[in-house]
Amino acid sequence: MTRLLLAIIGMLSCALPALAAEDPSFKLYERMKEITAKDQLLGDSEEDVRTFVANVLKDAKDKKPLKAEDVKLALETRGWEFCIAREGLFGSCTDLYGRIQDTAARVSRFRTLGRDLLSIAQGYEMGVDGLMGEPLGITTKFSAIVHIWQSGADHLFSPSRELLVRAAPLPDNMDFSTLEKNLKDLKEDATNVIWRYRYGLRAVQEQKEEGKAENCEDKKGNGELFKTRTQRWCDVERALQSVIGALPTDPAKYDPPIEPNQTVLFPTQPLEDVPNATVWMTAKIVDGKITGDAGLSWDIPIETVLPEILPDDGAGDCMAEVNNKDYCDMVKDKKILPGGLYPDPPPEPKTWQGICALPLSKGSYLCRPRQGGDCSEEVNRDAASGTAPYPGSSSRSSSSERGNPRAIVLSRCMPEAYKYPTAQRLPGPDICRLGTWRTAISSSSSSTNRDSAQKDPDLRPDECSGCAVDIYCQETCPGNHTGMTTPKDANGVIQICLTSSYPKTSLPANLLHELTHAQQLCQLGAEEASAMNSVESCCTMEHDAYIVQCNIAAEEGILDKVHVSIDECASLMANTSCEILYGKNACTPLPGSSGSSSSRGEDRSQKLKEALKKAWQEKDRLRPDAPSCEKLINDLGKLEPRAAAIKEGLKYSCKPGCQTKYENTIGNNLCYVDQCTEESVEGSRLTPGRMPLTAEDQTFPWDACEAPDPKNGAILGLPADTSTSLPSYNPRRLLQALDIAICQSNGMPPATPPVLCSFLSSRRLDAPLGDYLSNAIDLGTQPGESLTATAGLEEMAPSLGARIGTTMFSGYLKQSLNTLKDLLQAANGLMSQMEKVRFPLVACPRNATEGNICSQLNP
Amino acid sequence: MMKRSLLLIGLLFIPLTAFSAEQGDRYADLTPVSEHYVKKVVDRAKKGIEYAKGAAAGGGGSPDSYLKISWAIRLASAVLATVDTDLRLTQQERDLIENSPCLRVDTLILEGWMERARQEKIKAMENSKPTTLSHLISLQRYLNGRYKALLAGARDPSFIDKNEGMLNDFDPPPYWCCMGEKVSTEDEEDAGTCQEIAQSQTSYCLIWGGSIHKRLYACKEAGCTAAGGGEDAQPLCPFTSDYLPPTTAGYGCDLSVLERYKDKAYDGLKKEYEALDALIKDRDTYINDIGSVKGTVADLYAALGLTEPNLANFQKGKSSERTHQKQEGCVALDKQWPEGMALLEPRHPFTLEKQETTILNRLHQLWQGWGAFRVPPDYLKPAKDLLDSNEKKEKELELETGLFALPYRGAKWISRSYLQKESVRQLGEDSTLIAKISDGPLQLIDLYRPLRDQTYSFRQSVQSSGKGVRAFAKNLAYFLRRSCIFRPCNTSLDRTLKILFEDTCFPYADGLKTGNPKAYEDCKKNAGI
Repeated sequence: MTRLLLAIIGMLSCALPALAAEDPSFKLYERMKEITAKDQLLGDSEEDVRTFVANVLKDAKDKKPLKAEDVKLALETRGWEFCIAREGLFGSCTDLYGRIQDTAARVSRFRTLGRDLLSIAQGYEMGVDGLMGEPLGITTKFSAIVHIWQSGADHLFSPSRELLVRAAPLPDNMDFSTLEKNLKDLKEDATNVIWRYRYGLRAVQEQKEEGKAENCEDKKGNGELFKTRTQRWCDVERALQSVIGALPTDPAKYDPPIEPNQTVLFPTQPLEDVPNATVWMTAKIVDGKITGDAGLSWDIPIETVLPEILPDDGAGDCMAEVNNKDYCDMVKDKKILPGGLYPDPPPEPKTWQGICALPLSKGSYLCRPRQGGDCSEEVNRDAASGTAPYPGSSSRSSSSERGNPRAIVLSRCMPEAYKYPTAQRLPGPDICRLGTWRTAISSSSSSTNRDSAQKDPDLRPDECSGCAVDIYCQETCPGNHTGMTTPKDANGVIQICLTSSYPKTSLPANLLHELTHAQQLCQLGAEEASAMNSVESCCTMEHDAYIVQCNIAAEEGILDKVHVSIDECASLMANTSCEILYGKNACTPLPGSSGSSSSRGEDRSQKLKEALKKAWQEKDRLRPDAPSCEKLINDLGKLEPRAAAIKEGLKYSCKPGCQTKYENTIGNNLCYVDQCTEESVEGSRLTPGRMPLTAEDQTFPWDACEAPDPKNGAILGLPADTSTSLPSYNPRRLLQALDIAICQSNGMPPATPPVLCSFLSSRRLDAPLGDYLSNAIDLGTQPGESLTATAGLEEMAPSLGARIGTTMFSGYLKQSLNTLKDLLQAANGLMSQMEKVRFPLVACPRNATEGNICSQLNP
Repeated sequence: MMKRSLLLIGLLFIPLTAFSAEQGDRYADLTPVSEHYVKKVVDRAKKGIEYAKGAAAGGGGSPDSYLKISWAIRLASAVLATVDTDLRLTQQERDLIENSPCLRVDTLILEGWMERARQEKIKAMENSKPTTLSHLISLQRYLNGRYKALLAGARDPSFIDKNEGMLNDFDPPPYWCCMGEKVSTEDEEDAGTCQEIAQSQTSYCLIWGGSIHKRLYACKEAGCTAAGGGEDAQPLCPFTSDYLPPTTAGYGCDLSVLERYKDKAYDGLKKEYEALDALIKDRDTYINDIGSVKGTVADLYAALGLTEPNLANFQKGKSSERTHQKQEGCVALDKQWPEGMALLEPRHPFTLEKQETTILNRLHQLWQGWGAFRVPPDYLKPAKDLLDSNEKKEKELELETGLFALPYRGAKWISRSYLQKESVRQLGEDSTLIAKISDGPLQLIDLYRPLRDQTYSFRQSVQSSGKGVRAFAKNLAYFLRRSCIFRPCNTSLDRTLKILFEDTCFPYADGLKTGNPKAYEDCKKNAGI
């Protein structure tokens, strides 16, 4: 026993050295030592054991009833004190002493056995049971690795249901203190609590009745496994509920948006006061709303829950309906649980309960949906008749494998009918054209390009898309199908009709089906689309679309009800879509029959269609608040993000000025790079048209789109080529003018030298005054009269000279400055013309002569 | 004696006829250009002549015994002395080129009246009417003075003819009496007011210490108050804008004024009118014809990529859009030169060069005029001009009226007039500073303006990354980047774009590079390369 335990210890400690070292409050070795000490009754014995022993050996006739403290003394081999406490030294004291030790050893052995068995079971389950926080987190890591490598398109097109998980950070102010306190207060019971709620709060709440959350009651019960299977701790439940309530439920908080089959894993949170315990949290979309779940778990599941040996105080109930009278008497009298009698084993959990309720375990082998598990008639009949339920099994020849409903399909063979290339442009199929690898950018749709639930005749593709999708809801769509997609028309619009008379819950699946068709048709013009009129093309296109539809149906649980696999569903439904043009069973020709008709096959496709419709209607009843067709279309981004992502996938990836948004996984990156490469290679020329490498190289016989010649600099205002002319300088004339001015200021005609102007004797002599003295005085003062004017002119003469000089200089300079100014003006003109040169946004297109590709270059 | 007087009389004729022989008085009856001044003068002269002649008829006051040879001799000298001397020799003498025809007309009118007065004077002398003679001589003096004033103030709105209001011998009543302070108690209310008096009251006015004036404003100048206005209440200024050269704004001696005289005045005016008319007609034709160019100009500028010039004034200035404006008389200081009124024509009438001589002469005289207005310092001011403190004024008054009043006042006056003369001379010399020092740089600044604009926009084209070669390089780099498929190309273009976007990497145009030898480091740091 000890060795076994030590082996287990060794196994655990090999696997978990790092984890033990990280947790300072939980030391594995210390724990082991404690447990071993308990087993060996060394040191502190358990209180329960002591009480049990005391109750068992209690004799009503004793003067002094045996107490747990006395037992303690006995177990600690303090015999002398024990006897003193019992007030009897010899005789019965020793006897009792021995009997105490014996009983305790037996109880302890029993308990040790329990621990060992449980540890073994836990040890084996470690690492494979998918609980969160497990040190061997291969499941989470595996999912993460798969997710990183996938592109967003893959899971919708896979024929099996994949487990989609994603991580999200916890909101900032989550408070676990209530939970921690509750657990700490429970002390020993904490172990029970953690084991009880290891599958999450919701699993406990739904345990009693299917799908309904039961209210918590703080019951007490007396069953050995009561605490692990039945008891509910309402405080803890309330604390867990508040933790769940703190998780974000607003879809807007998740970017990219949560898809209906995705589970969000939040980081596990160690509980501070309870060593070795963590709380885990998830969230997923249930019934259209994001609901969370939380539960408790162990880092290292070393704690065990042992069957109770003491009844709960005040429990009263000894489960009299299952236990007999002697048992109950013992419980009542001795206050112990004798053990050995158990109630009926618990019911086997349903497939969605227990371990298969956990997100990671759900997709595991043990929890896979078992097709044909109920052995429905069709499957059995097929199995008996040997027809292949899986179209893909046409490549299998041995009949013994046919029709085995439990066969595990590990690979898929694509029949020839589904190998037609779809989703292509003229040069060839496009990579990642189908699917949802891109995330919708919310700001990308302008008001003119919004698609409403009615027909939008003005809708046009924007500059980043090759086509626009106009979805509208109608009572019935042409062809009486659940939807109809028409090829791209002359305006670049693909019309999608959705039947609003079909069950509302089936709308997402139908919508995604039609949108897949839109993706296939987006790059093809009307003529090219109509050229695809063969059985293979119809079948391939429908098959691809139906894979998506059936995948979603499988998520919703519809296929489980109808008992077909995704592959089957896709193939059979493809038949129904192509039968108008190509007859029944066009896509799944039965082996041995040429062509199409086979009564049994035709039944199967129609039957499947009706069965699916019924299943959807049933789902409708369970979810009456599912959005109607109009509501879904008008709010596509919020209600069905996958459809919005598919619509986003219609756009070009590499057009300059267009945004592409996707989750950063390897697959998505590859999709982006490859689409870019495709668009570049297919849409543009990689070598310029006029680059002769040798002398004999031809240039392209057609010309790339050339913008009209801007004729920069064709008209330039160049300065006139004038020679410099010096202004005329005629100093003699200037001096003459000055002389004239001097004379004129005196009222005299000009004379040279001008001094002659200042005095004219005849003025006085022709009109003499009365006496000679007056005449003489007057003659003398005559020059003085003109002196002021003359002096003024003389004073002014230097400024006259300066001014004339300046005028000459500026006359000369004006010419050359004008020339320079014109030159600079021409240079400025050239610069501003240069800055206006427009570069094209698009690389040189191929086949520039076709269509109006050149208009792209002139934005 | 008789012979001498006859000789003198004979001599009287010659010079007087010498200057008025050409015109005679045939222009004397033209309507003057300046109605507010010359017309008033002419009216007064007319009344004066009539009064003079009538006075003689009425007998007058002076007996014929005044006709004495010595009196005539003195009279002749006096007349000769005043008439000849400064008739045409004034400080503001303008020559033929500067006087506009309108001013010439008015001067001709005045000269005509002078001639008329002279003829009447000769008649009076022949008829031995000494009173008339003396009146007429005084009229001649008056007209002489007005002629001087007209020439002085024709172009100067600030010139006020102060002496026009003086009483002259030839003036018929009524006169204005400005009563002094020594009045009797009954007429106290008359003290200090101007009163209109008749001939008989003149002596009464003078006895009481008053003064007699012909015009009301002269009475007001003498210190009395006058109620009411009337046409004589304001002083006369000879200025009218019709004397100035014609401008496109509407002022000046333009066709509308000349039209009134073209057939009545001298020949030259008619030729002037015709020439101006022809010029304006040619100009109008040109303005009309040039309208077709506007579209071409706009297209040309657009084709060259230049901003369209401001064509707001295109085809403006037609003569039909021009209305004649006038400003005359005494104008308030701030309204004296409205926009569009020109003092001078900047260019010669016969060449396209600027008449620098006249312009600079005017500048010189303007500055000299400022010099004449220079306020003397306090210690030279007369007491009545001391305004700042009363005790200073009191002290000055004491000195001025005290014992040594006369030499004190005389000395002050001499100093003031010396100061004024020196100021005039100094500012006259200073006026040369304008042409020598500030004219040159100002002309150059004007010349460089278009070049500066172009240089500025050239510089702007490199300042921001959205312009010029930077924008082109940026767009090219972005274009190339889209087709780059290997890493060195990408990093190189990345670096190029970073440099192009960073303004501190282009410090040359701003001149930021000079003095900063490490400008490239700033570029590197800011561009993040």
